Amino acid sequence: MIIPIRCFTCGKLIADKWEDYRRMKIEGKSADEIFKELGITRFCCKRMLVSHVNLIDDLLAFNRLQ
Amino acid sequence: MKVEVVETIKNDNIDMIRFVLEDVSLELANGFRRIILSEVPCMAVDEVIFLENDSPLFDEIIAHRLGLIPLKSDIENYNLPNQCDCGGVGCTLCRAELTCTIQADLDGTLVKSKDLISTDPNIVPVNDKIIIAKLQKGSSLEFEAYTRLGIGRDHAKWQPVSTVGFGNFPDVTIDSKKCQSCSNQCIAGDRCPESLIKFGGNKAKLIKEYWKECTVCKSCAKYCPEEAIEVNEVSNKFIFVVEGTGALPIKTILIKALEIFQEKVEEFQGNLANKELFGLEFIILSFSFYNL
Repeated sequence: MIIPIRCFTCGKLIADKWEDYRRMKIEGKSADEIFKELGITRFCCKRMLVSHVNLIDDLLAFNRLQ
Repeated sequence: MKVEVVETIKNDNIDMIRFVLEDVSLELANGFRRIILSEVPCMAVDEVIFLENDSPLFDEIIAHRLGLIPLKSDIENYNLPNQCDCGGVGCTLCRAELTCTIQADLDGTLVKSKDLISTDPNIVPVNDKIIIAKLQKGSSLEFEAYTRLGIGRDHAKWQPVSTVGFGNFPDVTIDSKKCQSCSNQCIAGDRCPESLIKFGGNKAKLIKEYWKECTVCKSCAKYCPEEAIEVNEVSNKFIFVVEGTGALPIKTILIKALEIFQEKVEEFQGNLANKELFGLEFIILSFSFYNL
């Protein structure tokens, strides 16, 4: 849906890193480089970003106000 | 008790410390760890009033997301609600307010933590970039969020650290006399996942300060054909890792944890002295009840 605020396992803040992760991914950087730059060291936090699907973009197409 | 700081990292993304704790029993070290996790207070959003919410997310989801945002806390000037004069109803001494009013002009407007306006400049989100919700064109989000102090035992959002852990201090010894039979290659050294053993001149050697990286996996001892390597753990010596969320400086967390530990010990001693309340028989009974 939308990126969770914290890692489910360890509680590290990840919601602030999602946009940077997206940007760097589009630039073509490797996941290894990105995680180093974002200060993510554990695999629990890495899977939060890697496996995330931003479904909220699809839901925005349906106007709730109508 | 001896403390030696090994490493500190502090930047926008990570705030952590690694230190060696010496001459402390395992039980005491674990008690310290548990107090950092569940007893040190910090600030988090506890109550949210929604005035308008046109986003695709439900009120409850946004409220939960707000709760998990780490806030820079001020534990000196705020009271825990159950210790406050107001009795936990909520006053300026135990509560701060964050408000957000946002009207989206464009499709896909992100509501971020920078849109939260605090009544107290000391109680603000640790970061301006935390995504709270996403809005379509013309929709709006308006809410009031109340923050209060709490402890990690009640909810994980009040934990001042994301991770805190400790491991045994490694003690690896290599008997280089036995290395003579391996002429050109050290099998055990190649097996080390952290590459801590270097081989040269028919001798295997540990790199300097190997204990910083060693995970005590013992694969070197397992795969050495000559059984020249011995891996032990030093008793009463631990390597601690504390990684904060940014809510409190790590130094404050550690000092506060020790203060709370001291208070608990004193409370226990006081209870022991009060024989009317806790007679010796009662203690023996309760110890046997918990299988201690």
